[in-house]
Amino acid sequence: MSAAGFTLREGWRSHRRSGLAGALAVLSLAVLSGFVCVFAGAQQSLTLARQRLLSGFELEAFVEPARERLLGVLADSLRRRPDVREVVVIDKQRAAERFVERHGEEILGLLEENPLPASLIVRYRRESVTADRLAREAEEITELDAISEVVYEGDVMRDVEELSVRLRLVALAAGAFVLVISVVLTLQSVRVAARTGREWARAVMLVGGRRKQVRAPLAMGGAFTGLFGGLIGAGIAGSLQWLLSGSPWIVPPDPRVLVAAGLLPVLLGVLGAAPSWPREP
Amino acid sequence: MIELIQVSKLYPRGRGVRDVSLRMEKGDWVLLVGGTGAGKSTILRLIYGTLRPDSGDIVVGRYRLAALRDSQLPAVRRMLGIIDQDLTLVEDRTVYGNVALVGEVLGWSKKRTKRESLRVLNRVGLHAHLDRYPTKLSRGELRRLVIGRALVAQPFAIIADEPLIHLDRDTALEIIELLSRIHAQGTAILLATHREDLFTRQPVRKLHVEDGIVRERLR
Repeated sequence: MSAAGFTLREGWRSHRRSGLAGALAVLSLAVLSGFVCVFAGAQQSLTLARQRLLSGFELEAFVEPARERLLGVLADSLRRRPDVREVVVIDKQRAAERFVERHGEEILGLLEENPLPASLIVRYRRESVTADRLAREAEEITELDAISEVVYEGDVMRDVEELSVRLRLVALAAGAFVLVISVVLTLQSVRVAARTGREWARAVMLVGGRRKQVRAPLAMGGAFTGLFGGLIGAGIAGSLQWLLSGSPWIVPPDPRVLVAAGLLPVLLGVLGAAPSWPREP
Repeated sequence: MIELIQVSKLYPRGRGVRDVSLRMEKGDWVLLVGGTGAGKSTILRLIYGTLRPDSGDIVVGRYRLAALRDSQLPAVRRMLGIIDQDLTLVEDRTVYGNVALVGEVLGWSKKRTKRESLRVLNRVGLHAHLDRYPTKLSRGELRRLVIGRALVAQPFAIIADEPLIHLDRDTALEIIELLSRIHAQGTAILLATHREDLFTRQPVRKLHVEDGIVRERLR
C-alpha cells in the first residue's frame, strides 16, 4: 500500500473511530465555520448599509444670480469630476416648481419675480461617498466661477458614519472574543476526538511504524473532521445568507468567504489533532 | 542477538533498572521473572526503544541503540516481534486487519500482506476468526492475535511483556505451547512474567529482576 493511500485510509479510520467525540468536534467546527460566515456577512452587510445610507446624500451647488446661462457649462464640468454619478440641472423655472411642490403656491405667488436661484444637484457613486469626501468636494465646487454656495447634510452624514464605525468596532470586538473562545474550545474538542486513536498509534509504532506514519493519518483524521465541520457550518450559514439576501440590507454570500470558512476548520482540525501525536520515541 | 551493557534507567520516583547486563542469542528463550514494579517491563521497553537508557548501551542485531536517533528506532522494532502488556490492538480492525496492519506499515503489496497475514493467522489458530473484531475474542484468542501480529514480519526475536497475565492456567499453558512451537522454529523469545511456574517443560533461562536489578546473569 502506498504511503498516500495508507495516510488517507487510516486518516478516514481515525475520523470514524472518534465516534461521539468526533461528532462533537464536527459540530463545534461547524459552529465556528458558521460564525465566521455570519460575521463576514454581517460586516459586508454593514458596509453595504452604510453605503446605501450615504449614497442618499448629495451636494447642491447654487449658481450666482444672473449667471444662469453658465448652467450647461457648469454641469458638464461637474460631470467630469471623479466619481460623479449624475448631475441634475435645476434652472430657475424648475427651482420654482420644486418650491411649489414643497411649500405650496401661496408664498411664491406673493412675489412679482422668481427669486429662487438656479442650482446643480451632484450625486456620487455609492462606494465613494464619505463625509470627508463630500466636504472636500463642496469646498472645491464652491471655488468654481459662478457658484455662490454649496450645501449638503454634512452633520447627518457624519452621524451616520460615526454610527457605522462604532457598530463595526463593537461587532469586531464581540466577534474576536467569540472567535478566540470558539477556537480554543474547538481545538480541545478535536484533540479529545483525536485521542481516541492513541491505541492505534501505539500499535503502529510497535510494529515498526515511523512517526510520520502515525502523525500524517492523525492529521488527516483531523482534516476530515474539519472538512465536515466546515462544509456543514459554511453550507448552513451560506444558505441562510443567500435566502435572506433578497432584503436590500443583506449581501449575498461571498464565495471567497465561504471557501475560507470551509477551510479554516480543516486547519484547526489538523492543529487540534497535533497534541495527540505520540511523544515517546 | 540482543545485548544490554550496564544499562540504567531511573524514574523520577526512584524506580527503574540499574546496571542491567544481559545477552541473548538467536534461538534463546529467556524469562524475566519478578514481581510487579520490579523493572521487567522497563527492560523490555528499553530494548524496543520506547524508553531511552540513562546510561549503558543496548545492541539489537546490528544496531547500537545509544547511537540511534529516534527516527531510526522503527528499524529496530521491525526486527522484533513486540507483544505489549496492554495488547495494543486496534478495536475497529478485524482479526485480519490487525495482523495486516504490519504489512501496511511496512509498505508491502496487498498480495504479500494477505499471504503473510493468513500464514501467521493459520499458525496461531485464528484462521477461522478473520472477520471478528477484538472485542468479540476471548482472552486466549486475544493473546494469539497479538502473537500472530508479532510474527508477521518474521522477527528474529519475540519480546513479550506479561503475555500470560489475566489468563486461567489452561489458557496460559496453551499460549506457552504456542510460544514453544514458535521457539522451536528458531525464533528467540524474551518474555517478562511473574508466572514462571508454568514453564516446566520449556528450555527457558530465568533471570530474576528485583528492585531494578537483574540477580542472575544469563552467561
